[in-house]
Amino acid sequence: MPTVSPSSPKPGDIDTTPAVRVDRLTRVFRTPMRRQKLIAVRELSLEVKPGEIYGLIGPNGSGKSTTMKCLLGLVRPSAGSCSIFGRDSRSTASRREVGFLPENPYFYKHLSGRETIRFYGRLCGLRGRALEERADELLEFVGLSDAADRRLGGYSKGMLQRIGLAQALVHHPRLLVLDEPTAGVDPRGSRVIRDLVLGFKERGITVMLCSHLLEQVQEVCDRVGIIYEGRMVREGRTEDLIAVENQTEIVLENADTALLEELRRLVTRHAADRPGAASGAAPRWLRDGRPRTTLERLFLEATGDSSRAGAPAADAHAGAAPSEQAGPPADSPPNEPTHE
Amino acid sequence: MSDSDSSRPTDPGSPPLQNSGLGGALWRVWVLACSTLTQLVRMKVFVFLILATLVLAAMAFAVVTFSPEEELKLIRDVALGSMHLFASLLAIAATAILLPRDVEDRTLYTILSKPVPRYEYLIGKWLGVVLLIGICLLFMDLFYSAILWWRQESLIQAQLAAFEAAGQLDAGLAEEVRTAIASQGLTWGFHSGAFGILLQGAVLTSAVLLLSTIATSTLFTILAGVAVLLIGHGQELARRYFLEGQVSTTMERLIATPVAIVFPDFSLFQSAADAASVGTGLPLGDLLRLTTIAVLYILVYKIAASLIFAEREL
Repeated sequence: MPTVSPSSPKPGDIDTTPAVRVDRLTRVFRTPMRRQKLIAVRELSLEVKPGEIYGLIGPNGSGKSTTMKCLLGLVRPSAGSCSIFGRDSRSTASRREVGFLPENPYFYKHLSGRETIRFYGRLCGLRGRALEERADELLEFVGLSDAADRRLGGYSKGMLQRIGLAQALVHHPRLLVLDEPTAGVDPRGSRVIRDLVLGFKERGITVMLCSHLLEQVQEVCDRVGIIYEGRMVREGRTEDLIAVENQTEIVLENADTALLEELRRLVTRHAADRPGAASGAAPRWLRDGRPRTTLERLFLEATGDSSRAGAPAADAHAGAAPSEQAGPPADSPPNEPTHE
Repeated sequence: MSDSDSSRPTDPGSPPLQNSGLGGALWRVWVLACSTLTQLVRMKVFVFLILATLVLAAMAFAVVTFSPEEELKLIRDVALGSMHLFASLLAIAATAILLPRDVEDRTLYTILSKPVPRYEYLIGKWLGVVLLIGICLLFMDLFYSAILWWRQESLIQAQLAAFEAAGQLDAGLAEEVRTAIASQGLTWGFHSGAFGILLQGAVLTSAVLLLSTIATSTLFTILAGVAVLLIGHGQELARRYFLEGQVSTTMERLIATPVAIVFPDFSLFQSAADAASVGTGLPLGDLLRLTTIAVLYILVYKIAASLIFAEREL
């Protein structure tokens, strides 16, 4: 396996070292008794650029978690390599740059929120006043200052997830690896975590996340990789991957029936005038109707968090349930429906 | 949760952390040890310890004895026996739950995804349990020392008063009575016995930690730990049987050799407690030799555990 040496950019240079590099990674597990081979990951390659939000999606057992574990040095690759900012994942030093939030994290229940952050901070070499300030800072950041001195045994799922984020951030990592960060969290908590992820990007933190909630991945990720049976089957910019190449959406506000009828006639006439209309290459009116909002928005509005429901960060990337017709553009007002 | 522009908690690559070199390694081990100790303390171990110590001490007084020396020896035996029991229980039970629980709860993921090598994690866990055993033994040593001292002084006074009432007391007899009773009371040998038990606890902890790197359940680790303790106490017999040429068949040799090599010889550490039981205690040279043997055992088990744990899939 090739050894990846750490890169040290010179002053003034732009650091182009990938935040994550997975190179032809293969991981084979063997059953203890029968010595059967289980290939969890096959020849998987991917790269995450600094500052990007990358989503790794795939069905259960597709190899997502194994890839993440290899990246974090928790599992050894059978072949290929992983590196974090140029450092081989097998080296302890690579973990100075990464914060990890596992799926359904369970921390030490006997510790309070503050003690938990202190514990992980100490492991990273923080101590004294700097550690105390960092703990206070992070508790405030994740909104747990009021619960700081309560033991984690009494924390809700969402609170555990947030304390998990705090511990992942304690040593100022440049890369965050989040495994199902919103698993089991209610829509409001889920929204909060999603906004945080978008905030990380603004601050220059690279995020690699793995989630079953495809809508959320679509909302926050710059690029997406789809993994199936251990192989990367699709990868690319989220917008490119989800765009329907031969369709265009128009969203109108306050359009009456007459206007819609006129537009429909215009499309029909245009299609009839075009050569090759019979071959199916001509424009065609597919559907129209009233756009739908999302259950998430309804939930947030009903539970009194309408400001969150229309938070700018969320709107910029808002997703929605499939609707009969295209929805509003990205800068639509908070309570407007969203596009498909 | 706020994500305001003024807050900077998520700024990447901020202050460089002093986390490298031997100092950094020792610091991380200490952090893990303290966390382990806190975890075990918050499991109310000390409440159980105090209650059990009081009950055992009360039982020592309930037994009928015929002489002051017998009574003091009984208290000493109960003290050393309960120390041995607690040290063994803690070494097995506490160690057996630590690693499997961290794996099951995935707490281990968050620890090992920080710049913490696996061997440091193991050493930290081991040190945490040994610190707990040390604190418990210190408490019990102090408690029983106080009882022994109080009982020894009251028995001396009672004996002297009895001789004086009979009109037989002179300076020589008083000194003789004092020396005879004090030799079975609180002596430095008692503390050397406690130290031997601590060494045995440290060795047993490292052996159980090695087992837990292989095991997949707490129950298996506990049962295997008890087996190690029992075999360790009978190990001397196995070794003699093997070394003194009493092994006749290949099969017997195959069984005796691994027992003699792999399992710790706890009878060595028991010798410190035995010496304390008869009121003499081990000489300093023997204690140093015992410490060296314990360190060697711990090193071997630690290295084996680290090698196995480094390869373990999490």
